[in-house]
Amino acid sequence: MTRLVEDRQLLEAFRRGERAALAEVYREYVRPLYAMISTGFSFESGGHHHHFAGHREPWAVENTVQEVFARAFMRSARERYDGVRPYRNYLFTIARNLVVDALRARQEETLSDGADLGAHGSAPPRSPEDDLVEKQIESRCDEFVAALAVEERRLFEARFREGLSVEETARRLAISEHRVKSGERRLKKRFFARMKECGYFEGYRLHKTGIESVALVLLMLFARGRTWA
Amino acid sequence: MTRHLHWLARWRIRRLFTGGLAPVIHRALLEEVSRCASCAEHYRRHDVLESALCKKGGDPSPFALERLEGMVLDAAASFRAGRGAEPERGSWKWRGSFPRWASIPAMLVGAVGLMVLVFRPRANERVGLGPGARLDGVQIVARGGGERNVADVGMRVFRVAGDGDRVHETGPLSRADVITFTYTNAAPGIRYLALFGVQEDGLLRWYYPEEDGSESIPIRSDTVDEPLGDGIRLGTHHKPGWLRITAIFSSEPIAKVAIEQAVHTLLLERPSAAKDLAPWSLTDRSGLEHSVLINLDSSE
Repeated sequence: MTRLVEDRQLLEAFRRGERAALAEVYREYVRPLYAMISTGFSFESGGHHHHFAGHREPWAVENTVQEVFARAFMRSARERYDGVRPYRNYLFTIARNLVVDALRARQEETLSDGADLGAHGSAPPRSPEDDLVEKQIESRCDEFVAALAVEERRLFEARFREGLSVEETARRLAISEHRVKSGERRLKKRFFARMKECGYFEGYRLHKTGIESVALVLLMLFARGRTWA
Repeated sequence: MTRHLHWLARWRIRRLFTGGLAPVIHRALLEEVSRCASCAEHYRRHDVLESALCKKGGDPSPFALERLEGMVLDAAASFRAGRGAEPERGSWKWRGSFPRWASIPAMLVGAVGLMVLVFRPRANERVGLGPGARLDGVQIVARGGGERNVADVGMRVFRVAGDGDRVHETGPLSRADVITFTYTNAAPGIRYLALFGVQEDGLLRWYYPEEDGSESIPIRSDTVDEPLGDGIRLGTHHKPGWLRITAIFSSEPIAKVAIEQAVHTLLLERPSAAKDLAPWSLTDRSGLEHSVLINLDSSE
């Protein structure tokens, strides 16, 4: 976690904004940053102690993480980093400021002593039903994996379970990167389609204020029209 | 703020998790999802399934991190290319007070400058042109009838520059190049697009839908130069020589297999049609065709 302090060449390339160096820094720090944004943190503001509960929804975490890196990779921010103290602390400070500013803007009134600021994109607490759904998904997933052909299984293990990159997987399986990508796409599509058949994507609809209410209003107007006629 | 379309957001969510989206569209999708509870739920469920496949529990899947990486590096590249809002260090800044007497001449100078900017001849076709002007000179042909100039729909081909961060209007192309597309759709009722290339061998190279898709893809309405995903490396599936790229805009999805059969039949009956930009009238559905013919150099 002290790559930029130890590797001066990387630091220089990073300061120049070279794509490869930015990618390396991203890969080094994205996991701890992701964990920080999803589990939350405590902070002091105006002499009071507050707690940010973390984002639970994946889109909210992803949005924040990409925003933090976008700020951290701006030229001014890259040049401001002194290269002496751990970059992780620098990145986390940017993240904390970003989150706190966003929460302040949205929840000014809840900034009281000891207040839990919660999070935008928080999911409701887990219920026994959630646990059941999770178990069902796990079981469907095991069935799906068990039914994979040998070649698919090798690709699956490398990409999905071991988390190898496309390049590493292509090298290991001696196939092109294109085949790795199309193979993993097919696997995901098949699994999603199977879960759709099981009804996994049912149970939530468009907003009631959307299509349904428009349909209701039209129906009422139609009924009134018939009455007047 | 753009209008939120559930069907489009959901299609993009599926596409993000099964094939990927261009970083700029991914970023816009996250914004959209944050404003719609049902689309957010759709996103979450896809993420849960992907994480389950990776047995990651609460941790992000490697796919999620790869997608984020694309977005982060794209944003950094935007700043480098001057497309972002990053302030440059050391840039000139007025720090003194502005005398009131100077405001009238300054306004006059500003107005003259604005006039010059508005009325000067355009050096670059892409800058500030409306849908009609933007496609002026490009032959767009409505299928089913005689040729006519319609500026309601269109497709443009761009060459991706070496650093992967910029695109240029198509110039001379070789198999070493990467191309990308944008589409314009201002036609009423048009909601789907199929985009493919044909070369001398008569085989189809599918761009959209991709190889594992089965029918034309949903597109936005009332949009100009909407980017279509990532670049396409010509060296992978293309041969040197001419390449006819055809876009079919339709009100309903068209099956890939129907287009393939229609193209094969047409080229058997009329081989000269391959290099002809006249409409092929491939399907029974009402739609619009737009084709371009480019030449691929053999250099790798």
